[in-house]
Amino acid sequence: MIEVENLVVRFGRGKAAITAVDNVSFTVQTGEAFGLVGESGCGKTTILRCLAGLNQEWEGIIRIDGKQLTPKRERSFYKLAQIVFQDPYGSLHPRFTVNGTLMEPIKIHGLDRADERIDRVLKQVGLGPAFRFRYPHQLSGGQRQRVAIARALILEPKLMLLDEPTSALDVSVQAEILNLLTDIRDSTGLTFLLVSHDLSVVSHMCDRLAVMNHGQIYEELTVDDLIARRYREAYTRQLFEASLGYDKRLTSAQVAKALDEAGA
Amino acid sequence: MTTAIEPAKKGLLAYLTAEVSHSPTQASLQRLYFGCRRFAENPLAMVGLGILVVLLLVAIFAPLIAPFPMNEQNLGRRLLPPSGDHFFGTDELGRDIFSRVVYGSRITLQITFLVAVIAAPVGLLVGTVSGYFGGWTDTILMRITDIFLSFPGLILALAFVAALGPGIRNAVIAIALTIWPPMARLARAETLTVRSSDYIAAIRAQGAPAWRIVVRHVMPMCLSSVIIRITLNMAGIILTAAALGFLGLGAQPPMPEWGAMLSTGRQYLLGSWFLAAAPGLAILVVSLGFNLFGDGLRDVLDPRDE
Amino acid sequence: MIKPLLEVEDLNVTFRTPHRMVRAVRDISFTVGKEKVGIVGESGSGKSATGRAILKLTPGNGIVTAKRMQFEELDLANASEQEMLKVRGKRIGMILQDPKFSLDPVMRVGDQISEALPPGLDRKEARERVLEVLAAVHIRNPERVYNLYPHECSGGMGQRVMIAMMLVPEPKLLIADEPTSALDVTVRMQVLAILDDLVSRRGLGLMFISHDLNLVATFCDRVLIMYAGRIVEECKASELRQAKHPYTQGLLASLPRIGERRKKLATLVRDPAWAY
Repeated sequence: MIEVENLVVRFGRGKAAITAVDNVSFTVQTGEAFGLVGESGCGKTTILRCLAGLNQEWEGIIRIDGKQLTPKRERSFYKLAQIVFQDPYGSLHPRFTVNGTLMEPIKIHGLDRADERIDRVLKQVGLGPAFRFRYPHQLSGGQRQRVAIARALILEPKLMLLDEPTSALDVSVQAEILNLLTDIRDSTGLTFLLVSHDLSVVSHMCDRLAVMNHGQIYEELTVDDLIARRYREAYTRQLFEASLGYDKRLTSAQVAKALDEAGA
Repeated sequence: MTTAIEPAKKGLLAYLTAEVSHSPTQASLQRLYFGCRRFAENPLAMVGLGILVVLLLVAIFAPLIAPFPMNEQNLGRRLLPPSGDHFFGTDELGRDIFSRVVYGSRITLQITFLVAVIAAPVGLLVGTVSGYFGGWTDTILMRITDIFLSFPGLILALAFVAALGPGIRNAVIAIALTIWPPMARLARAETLTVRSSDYIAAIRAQGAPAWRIVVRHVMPMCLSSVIIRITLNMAGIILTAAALGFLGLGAQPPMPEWGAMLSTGRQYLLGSWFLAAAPGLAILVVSLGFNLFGDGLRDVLDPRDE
Repeated sequence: MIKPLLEVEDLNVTFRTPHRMVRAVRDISFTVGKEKVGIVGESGSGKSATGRAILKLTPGNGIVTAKRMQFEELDLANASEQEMLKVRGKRIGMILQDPKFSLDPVMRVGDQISEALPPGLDRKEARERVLEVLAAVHIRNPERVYNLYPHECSGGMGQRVMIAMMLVPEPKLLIADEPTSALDVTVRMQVLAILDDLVSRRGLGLMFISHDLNLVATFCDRVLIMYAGRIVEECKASELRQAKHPYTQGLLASLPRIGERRKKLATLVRDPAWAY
């Protein structure tokens, strides 16, 4: 479904240029759930935005569903891949009702049977018709994220790009949204590309993952391998151990050394 | 018939406060209703609204309110101080000042309305297009805006009226030309903030063309700022119109434009203070009204401490 | 039985909004000794309001009442603002989430830390003390960091500067409100290790407020779980898995964990009875 070869993204010019994505290559099979894991600034979100067509300054090759893509996308592309953003409080237009938000893609692409589509997609995300004419400020974080997912589904894409879809949500709400995404995947066979800093979320949702740092992919492995600790890179181990919680055996001197080496 | 009216009233209130809306219209009306309720909680804002409503009513019913025709001269009754017959006294040509102030409200209302209706959309359009597209579009549009902004408002208005000729219509155009640049700047600033938000990224990711994003998604977010700013600028508009009238470049005699009346009243200030005081007071009260209303509007449309 | 540093009994925090009264914290009681106590809750549970109420930093529209709020020998519940000024930042320190917002952006780090020193020290002494405290948080190059501005510090370093600043007046109790939530996961562990070390070496009490149940369970000695303004569970961190309250159990069950290959996560079914 996704083939990325030698993707490079640079911000800024000349001496102040930052290479956000440094020669990254990976593949995602159709129907697979693939995770991109890393800490802030590693480039994972940048890659996602390049795939979604939001970032047009990249070099390299991106193929989605077999078709090679240019930085500027044709309208038909957007029916193929849709993106769900991290912050439910910022990703819905404050002046549009849920109905309005869901109508926009319908009108942009000239789809028919608007009411039917809207009702169907609201049901798919577990929101009843009562929510149809609410404004975002009348919805909770979890409900907003459901609307964001509904918006992504309404164009019936084959690929869902998810940018930390639950990191801004409470733990209990996160579980509901993750379950919803699992249901959707089961019923539609969509391909998922999930970006997150949380290894436990990625290991729950995905089949395979890539660990990123400083704009590069350090390691690619299956979730089964991750769980069995069959990783090769020290950084992957660091992330893995951090996700288990605090380790009382760490001495602060060891830690300080590691911190200063990392430039933190 | 109270039983017939009350259920209907309950029906409307129920419609507006229902937990669940069933149509886009209902959702919009609910928002409007709650906005008005919030506005009504602000006493000063309601005072401002009251002043504006009075202005509107006075303008509409001017012939009924004014005891004398606005241009009826009576040289035998010149410069009379305020009295029971002439609430604000008479001017140098024996015309009743109260009636002239009342009819003058129409001119004031006409000028402020026309200026707002011309300047706000132009400013909004220029600002949002400039802010959203950036690059050369932004540079060119903003430098044009800068050129207009670099002149003091009154001087610019004077220059235009001098070029176009005196009269209300040209005064309106001239003032509108001085008011649109700050609106454009404001709209551009809002657009720059809005442009980087996730909801704009989301609609871009759905394949929306640029014009649709600007008109349907960016402009609504800038609209409230522009509306508020224009209401707060109304006082300035009235004063600029008054200044133009004062200089003889706005409404021409014998039109009872408040600024023009203030101008003639100046000559008689020492002896007959009421010639200047009456229109001056009217300008003060209406400007205050717009300011209070604009402040209240800002608290409703742009709440800070939520 | 060693007397705890902080004793709170029946604390209530109510916020006045234009339309109704919001009870953020409802009749909670707890103690903090020379230990690490974690207060965990989701948004709206009242955990942050609790931390702020102890230092009387509740925003203007909040009303704080308590049967008892005793810190060492001081009665905080009835303390005046004057008395609180001697406590805040001096005897009770507070570490907030994002150093970007708590550090003055136009002052150098070293100068800011010096502000926390007691008055009367000359410049040389003051600088020595600041460098000492920067070294205590394991900053390798204290001289260099002394001259940095906050925006030139990374997240982890900024947070360590915050901790240093809070430790200068040698407080007895630290209240930390999501101190590591804004940090990257690897840096987080490292900053916590430093905090752990300092707290145990100096015998301080630590109130660790967070939404991250797993983190608190592994870092703290005791855990308090808050829901809708009440404390619904209190137990030793090591015994968290045996928690009795259904909310805690639900929360634990709904966390995704590496290694557990569950298809679906258990979702929390909120019982309105928990709010009572």
